[in-house]
Amino acid sequence: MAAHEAEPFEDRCQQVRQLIWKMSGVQAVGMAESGGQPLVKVYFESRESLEAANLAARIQGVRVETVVSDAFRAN
Amino acid sequence: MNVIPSSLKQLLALFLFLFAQTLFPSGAAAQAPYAKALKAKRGAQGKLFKIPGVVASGISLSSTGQAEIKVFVENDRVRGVPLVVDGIRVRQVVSGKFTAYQNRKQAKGGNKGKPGDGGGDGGGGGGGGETVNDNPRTRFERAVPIGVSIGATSPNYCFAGTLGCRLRLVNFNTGTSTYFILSNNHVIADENRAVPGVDLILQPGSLDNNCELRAEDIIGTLHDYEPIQFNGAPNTIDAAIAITTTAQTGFATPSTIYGAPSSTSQPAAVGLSVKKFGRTTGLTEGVVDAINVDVNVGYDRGNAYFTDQIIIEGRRRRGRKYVTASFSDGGDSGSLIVSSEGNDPVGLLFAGNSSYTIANPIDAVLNRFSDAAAGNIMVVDDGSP
Repeated sequence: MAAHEAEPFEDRCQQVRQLIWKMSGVQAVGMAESGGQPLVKVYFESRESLEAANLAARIQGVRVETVVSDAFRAN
Repeated sequence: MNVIPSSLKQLLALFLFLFAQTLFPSGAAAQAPYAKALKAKRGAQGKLFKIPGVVASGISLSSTGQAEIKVFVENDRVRGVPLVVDGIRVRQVVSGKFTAYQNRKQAKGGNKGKPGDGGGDGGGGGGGGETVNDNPRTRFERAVPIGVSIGATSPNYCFAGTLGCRLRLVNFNTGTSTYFILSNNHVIADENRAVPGVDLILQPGSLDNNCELRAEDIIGTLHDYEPIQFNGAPNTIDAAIAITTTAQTGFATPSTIYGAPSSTSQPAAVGLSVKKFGRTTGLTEGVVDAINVDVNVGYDRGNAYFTDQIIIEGRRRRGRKYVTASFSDGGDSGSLIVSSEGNDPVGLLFAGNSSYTIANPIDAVLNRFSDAAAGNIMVVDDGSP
C-alpha cells in the first residue's frame, strides 16, 4: 500500500480536486464514474490548456479523467 | 436588494473557514509542497512579470503529482524564465495572450413564434385543445405551462429565459399554500439588480415579443432571490422566485411534452438519465456526467464561482444507440431538469456551453426558499390538491 493510500479516499479526492482547481484553464472539477469506479473529472477550457496541464492519469491514488469542455457561461 | 440573513452569513463564514482549511491545512504532508510552491511563486511574482512575454503564472501539478510553478508566456521566443525558484521547479508554457471572456446574456434566435398565437393550455399546462401549442417561445394562454419563455421588466435590453416550474410554499401550521415561479436570478432578477416586490415577470420574455413590455403579459412579481457573488466567494445556486397565482401559471409542460414534474426531488447521481423542456432547445435528454462540481461561470457582471454543482452531457437516440448532443443553449436558463423516469426534479439549469450544461441541485434551491422554522416548506408543484 502506498503511503497516501492510508488516507481515506474521499480526503484524497478532495485534496486532488483542490490542487487541480488552481491549474490554468480548468473550468470545472467534479466527481464522476467509469466502470463503476469513482474518479475526479476535470473540464478544461481548451486543448492547449489540457495539454499544458499534463495531468497524470492517477494522482495520490485517485483516478483523474480530463475533457475539453470550453468555458461555461450563464445562459 | 436582498441582504443575506445572519444565519446564512454564519454558514457562509463556516464554509469559507472549512474551504480555507481544506486548501491550506496545517500539517497536511500531502499539501506541504503546494504551500511551499505558492510561497515561492508569490516571492518571485514581481520578477517573473518583468520578463517580456510572461502573461500569467500559477501553481500546477507535475505528472508525478508534485506542485510546481507554471509560467505562461506569449510565444516560444520568450527567454529568461528561471528553471527553479526556491527549490520549486518552474515549467514554461506557451499560452498566447489571455483575453476577457465576454458573456452574452441575450438568448440566441429571434421571435419565431407569433405573439398571441398560443392557446389551448389550461392550468395544467396543456390538453383539451385540438391543437396544442408547444412552441416555448410563443405567448401562451393563462395559465401558462412550465418550460416556456419568460422575462422580467428589470433588464433594459431585450431578453428571454425559461420558466422552470411552479413552486408551492406549504405552511404546515395553517395548511395554506402560496405559489411561485422558479427561474434563475440572472433571468428574472437581472444578476442582483432587480427589486423584489417591484419588478414584474412577463410571458413571453421581451426577446420573444419584439422587445416589447406589455401589461397583459405579466404573470408574476419578483419575490426573492439568492444574490450571486462575483467576488470569488462560493455560490451554490443561481435562483429567484416570483409570486404568481394558479390562474397565471400552470404546473405542467404543454401536454405534448412530459407533463407535470413530480413533487419528490431526486439527488443527482452520475449516470442518471435526465431531461428538460426549455425556451430555446425545447425537450432534450441528457445524462449526469459529474456531481459535486466546482465551476467558474461567466456572467454579464463578471465571473462567479460555484460549488457542488451538477454537469450534464446531452445525448439523443440514434437508432438503438445514444449519441452526444446539445442539452441546452442560451435562453434555456431557468429550466427544471427532471429524471427521465418519473419526472423527479433533479436540478435547475443555469449555465453551459455547446457540450455541457451546469445545474444547481434542486434541493439546495428548495431549501433556500423554505423556512422550516416558520413551518414553510417549498416543493415543486405537481398539481395535486
